[in-house]
Amino acid sequence: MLVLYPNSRLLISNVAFDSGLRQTINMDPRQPVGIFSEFLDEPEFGGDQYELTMSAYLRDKYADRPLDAVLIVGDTALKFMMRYRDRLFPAVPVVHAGVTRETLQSMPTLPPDVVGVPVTYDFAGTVKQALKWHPRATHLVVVFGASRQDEWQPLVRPEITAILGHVQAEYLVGLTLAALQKHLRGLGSDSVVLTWPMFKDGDGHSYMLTESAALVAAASGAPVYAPVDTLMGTGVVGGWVLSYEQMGRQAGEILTRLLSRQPDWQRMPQAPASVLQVDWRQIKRWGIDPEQIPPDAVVSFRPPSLWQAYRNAVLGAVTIILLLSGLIALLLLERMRRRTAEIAVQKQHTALAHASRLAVAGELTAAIAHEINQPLGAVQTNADTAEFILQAGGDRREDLLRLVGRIRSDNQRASKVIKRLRALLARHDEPRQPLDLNTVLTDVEVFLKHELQRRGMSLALRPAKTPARILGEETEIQQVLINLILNAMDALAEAPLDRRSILVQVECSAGFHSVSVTDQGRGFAEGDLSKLFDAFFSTKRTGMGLGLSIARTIVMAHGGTIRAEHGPSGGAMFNVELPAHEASKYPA
Amino acid sequence: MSTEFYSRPVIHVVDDDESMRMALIELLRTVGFDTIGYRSTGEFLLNSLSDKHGCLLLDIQLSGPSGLELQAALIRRGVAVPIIFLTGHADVSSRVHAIKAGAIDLLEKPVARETLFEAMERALASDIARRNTSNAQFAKRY
Repeated sequence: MLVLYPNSRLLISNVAFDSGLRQTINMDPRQPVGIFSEFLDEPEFGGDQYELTMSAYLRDKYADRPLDAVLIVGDTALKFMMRYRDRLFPAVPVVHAGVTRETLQSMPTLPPDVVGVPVTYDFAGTVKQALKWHPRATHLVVVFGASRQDEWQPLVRPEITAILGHVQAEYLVGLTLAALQKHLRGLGSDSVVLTWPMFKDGDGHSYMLTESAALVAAASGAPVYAPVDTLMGTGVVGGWVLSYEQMGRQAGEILTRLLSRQPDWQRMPQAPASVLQVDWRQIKRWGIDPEQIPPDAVVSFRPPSLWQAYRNAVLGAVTIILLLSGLIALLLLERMRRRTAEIAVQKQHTALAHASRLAVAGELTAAIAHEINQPLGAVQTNADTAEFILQAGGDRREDLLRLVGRIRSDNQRASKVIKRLRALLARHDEPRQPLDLNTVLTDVEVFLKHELQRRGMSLALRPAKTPARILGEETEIQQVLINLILNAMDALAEAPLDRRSILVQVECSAGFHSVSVTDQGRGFAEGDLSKLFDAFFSTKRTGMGLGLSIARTIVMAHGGTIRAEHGPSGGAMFNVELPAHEASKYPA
Repeated sequence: MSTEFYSRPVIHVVDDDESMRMALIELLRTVGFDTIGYRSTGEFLLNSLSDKHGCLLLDIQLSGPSGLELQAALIRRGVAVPIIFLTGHADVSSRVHAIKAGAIDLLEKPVARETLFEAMERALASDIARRNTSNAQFAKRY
């Protein structure tokens, strides 16, 4: 079979048509169809003499190759074929494609063995679409070329006029390129342009199919539309287009039926419907709302979305991310649970430590009462004296002033004791702060002074020569030391008078500071040493067995250690080691 | 009757707390007692061996030997001066111990003037009674 195209071999429309044709034509290898293609090369070549030459050429060329069918593409090729058919390929069935309905109507009725699907280029639909997307446009510019193939105006004008409404139409037909470009440059947002592949301009210059559209689009100050798909990408926005590939496919189907001699080969399919095709870049350029593009429109040159471009990679990544997110969520949940548990434990520790401090205060009741009642007693007595003086009369102002002064200072003394006690018993969680163990120990000594006195014991304090700085909660560290010293005092309860002394020593070493509390009591039984820090273990008659357990909890929370040993003189020795706090930050 | 009976009573105050001791001395002197203060039990023993008419206001918790230990020492030496204990805090065993050993009373600080004076009256009366007895015994013997 022979395919006859009207124009150049290289036109995109022809390439697209050929591709469609070869998709549907029967490619049965037992009965291969030979497809020859010929091109009339209009409009560069034309005229009666040329047509004669071409017809002679084709006749001679295919003389030894009997054809089963001829496929004619386009209006001018069909006209050529009908004029020379008898000389060229008489009685060979002709199928035409891409011939406009209007051309067919203007020609004499075709014989029954010349069939095809007439097409209609949707100029009106394209203009309608353009005016819909540019509602402010009042001016339509229609551009056609100057050659015989460019004679579209008479066909197009009536259908466009029918839909224009208030829009003014202007036809630029057969202008020179320079004049055309100049005119197009002057257009603004009140205009839209409709064009068609121009084969020749007013100067007789020929253009390849897409060239003229590219020039028109480049020059135009208004968006350019065209109802033909091969112009996509040249700068036109788009239009309701007929696809040349689709035409090729239809022709292929008809030819397949013809060549396999099916009786109904002349039954023609429906004319291909035009589809809306747009260039995404132009949509962006002219600010057309993407929402207004119908979903079935063919959008070209839209950058593929991540999903389209890397579907598997995206799927994989999303899966991995989901899995990881799930894992992270689980871990976070777990962490939250652990944190909650830690907080609960911490609260319990705090509560226990507090309870233990209250117990310590209970043990110290006698000492505390003594310490407070001493100044209160003095206040009472001084007040009694003052009252007596006032009742007796006479001028003893100076005595009274002295008494009032004493009352005030004793009152302050009592209040200081209470403040100190409250600080120890306070429940609030203090922040950790830099502490000097030497200072902490001095405070503890003040606290225990009266209890020691009450029990007839003494404290031998040996502070370190340099500040022993640690980071800690002051009341908790105090609590640990008070606890150890009270234990030592209990151990000495029945000791002879000359042994009733407790040695408390602070030592600094690299990285750690330690406080040791040594008594000269009876020491521990060997088996008790390992159980000392267990909760509810006590060797005392009234002990609850929580003091050392809580002391150890506090020390461990401070990153330190506490251990018990036999003292050098037979008693017990407790040693608390706490991490040193970087001294340079807190110079002495 | 001995002339000693008519001599003014002397109140001895033993308290290691400076302000308490000063307050007591000032009160007692203001109402007309001869009063002497001591910082510790040892100081009392060093300075107050003369057997004068009067009584002893004694703290229990003292640095060094306690008030109870002084009471025991005085009993051992046969010094029968009436003792009123004044203390910031007294547990049951100290209280029992003190009263059993013959103390006039054990008062807790802060103590009201009336309570203190009432106890001192009893102490001084007991002191007078003790001296009369001892004078009578002396008279009998010689």
